[in-house]
Amino acid sequence: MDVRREKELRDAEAAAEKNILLTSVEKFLNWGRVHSFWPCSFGLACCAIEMASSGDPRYDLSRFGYEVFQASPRQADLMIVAGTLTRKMAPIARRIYDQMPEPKWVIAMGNCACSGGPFADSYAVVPGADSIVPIDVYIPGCPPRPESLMFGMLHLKQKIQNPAKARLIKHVK
Amino acid sequence: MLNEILRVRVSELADKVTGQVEESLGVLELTINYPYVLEVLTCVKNFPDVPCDFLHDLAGMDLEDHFEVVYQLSSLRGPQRLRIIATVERENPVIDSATPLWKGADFLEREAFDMFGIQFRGHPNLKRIYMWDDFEGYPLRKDYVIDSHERRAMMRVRKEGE
Amino acid sequence: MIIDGTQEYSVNMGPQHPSTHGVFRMVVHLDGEVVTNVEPKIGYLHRGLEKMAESRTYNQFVPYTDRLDYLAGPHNSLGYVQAVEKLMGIEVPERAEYLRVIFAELGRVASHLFMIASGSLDICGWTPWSYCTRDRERILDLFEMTAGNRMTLNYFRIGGVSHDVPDEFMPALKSFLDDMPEMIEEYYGIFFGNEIAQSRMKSVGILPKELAENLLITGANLRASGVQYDVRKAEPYGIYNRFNFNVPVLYGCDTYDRHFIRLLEIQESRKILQQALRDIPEGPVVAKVPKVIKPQVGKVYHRVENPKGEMGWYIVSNGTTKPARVRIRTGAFVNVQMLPAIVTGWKIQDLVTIFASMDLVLGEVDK
Repeated sequence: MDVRREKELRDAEAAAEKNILLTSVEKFLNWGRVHSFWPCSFGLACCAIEMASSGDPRYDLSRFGYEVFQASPRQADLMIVAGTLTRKMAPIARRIYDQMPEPKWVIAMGNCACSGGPFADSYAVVPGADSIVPIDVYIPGCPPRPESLMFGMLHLKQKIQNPAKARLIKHVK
Repeated sequence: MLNEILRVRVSELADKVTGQVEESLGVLELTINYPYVLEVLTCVKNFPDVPCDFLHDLAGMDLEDHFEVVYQLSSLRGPQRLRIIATVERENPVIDSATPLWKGADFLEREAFDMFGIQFRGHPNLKRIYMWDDFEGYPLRKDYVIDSHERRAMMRVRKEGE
Repeated sequence: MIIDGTQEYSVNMGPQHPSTHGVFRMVVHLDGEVVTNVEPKIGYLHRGLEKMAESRTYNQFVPYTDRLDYLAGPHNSLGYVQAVEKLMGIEVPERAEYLRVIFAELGRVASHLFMIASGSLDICGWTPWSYCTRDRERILDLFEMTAGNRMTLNYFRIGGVSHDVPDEFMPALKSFLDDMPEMIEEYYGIFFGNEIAQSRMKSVGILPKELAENLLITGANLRASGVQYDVRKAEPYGIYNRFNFNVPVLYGCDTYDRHFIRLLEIQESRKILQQALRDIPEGPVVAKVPKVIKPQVGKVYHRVENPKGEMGWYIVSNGTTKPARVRIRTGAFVNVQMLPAIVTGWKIQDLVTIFASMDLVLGEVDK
């Protein structure tokens, strides 16, 4: 550990004794946000059942503080695209995304939302929800297990806490 | 026993409407031309002893040169089963609606209209059911060309009130 | 200002609405609080499975069938593989037949449990939801230890099942069946015997017998309207004729009966499962079928009793490796039509309970 870092830590400890913590506002707000996502209950198909299962007593999403599934997009900050996004549904999905207040994040749950999955060549299906709404985390699986959803949400947590780190990973399409 | 009665009834009916009777995998199959469909369905529904009074399924079918509307009939009170195949012209796909006989044929006919473009005469509300209103083409026809990946990835324009 | 009378207006409900169990949309016409008409609008999950079947080989289409009624995946596959087997005249080994029945009935129990759970959630009953999902998870565990996936199993094959169950499956199934009577009693106590649930559901949303038949309603909804008809009895497929079980029928025609009949069906499924567990023989689980499935020219219509209603598979073969047409008649799709008939005249808060009692799953409605 270099001297500067040691000094910083000592200062922080001294500040903590006086019950003062110094950080940037954005970091502090993000710290709060990542511990309580309010997902919008946007269930489309099979994945919606697994999304509901993740909230049941066995998987207990509430231990992370993510269990407040809101019916109205206006009260949510996380949209989980859970299932096959069809072309008929696409404008509505976009509208729901637009109704959500900033800051907001989107998780694509399941192969269908990631890339169209098994239905990618169907005339009625959007091949990948990322052409309709910007996606932060992709969770593959058909359908993904509730554990996968939690893993994805924890990844989103990391991403929000370290925006610089997340920006390094480029998703080439 | 009941099967024999049904066979007799169906062949009598087939003579009347110039249809053909076949049997495939234990199910009687009556092929008719589209103008007779309402007459045949009414008659079949009211067969004495062996009424085929439950329309189990109604489906369209594309055979390149013509369409077919396939009615799968059964009954809640007996083992009788019957399949009626009505051939429909490809250029002018019009057939009588079965909604006067079974209210439940409503959605099934709307689906056949949506997927094949078969017009059901006398249907109370013949609109697209699965696809949106201004969708072009009939997807289950053999000559339907599926939109490209890029086109499908684009968001369609939604009409207000849709 | 005094307003004389009520105003007629229409409210859009869905496709994103928590009580529509997916992406169902309805336009509700109201007079004050009273529903005057409902227009169901579907197709928001239409994936075009029938078209996709035409570009897949017979075996490749099996996984898609699980995604029709995703709450009870195995029963859909059962209908499809049996239809193809009927077309080709394939004999399925005994053990595979029994395994199919076990999985299909477990799927039915899981589906009905979820229906009771979500139905109670719609009237803000959280307890039945957590109890039912707790027990549903045990079924999903059984699925998982066999097929590796929790809901969409892809376990059935044309000619049998893909592989045998692991050794721990049968003891786990037995212990689940032993616990079932207690569970059913519990559900009765917390939901069906509950005064609030009863007053919300009893004699609400009546579907008379004649109307049900005219609307071509099938499955448990028909049996709750006083028609004792079950394809498993009327036209037994697979080995269902070997089992001794009853077809429950209720005559109330209301929302409560449509819920309650599911509980009775769970009990009957338990009987079938117990008999299957008792009689299951050892042996191979898949018949010798050609690597390339190529049925002769012909057509077949095969019906199965899905948890949501009767499912019909009309498969037309043109002698190639791909089907010329696969028509799927799903129970839920036809059952949607009863909604306007049963909801008219009730208040808007009853709409949610009535809708839940129809037990729709949008994967099956929209295909």
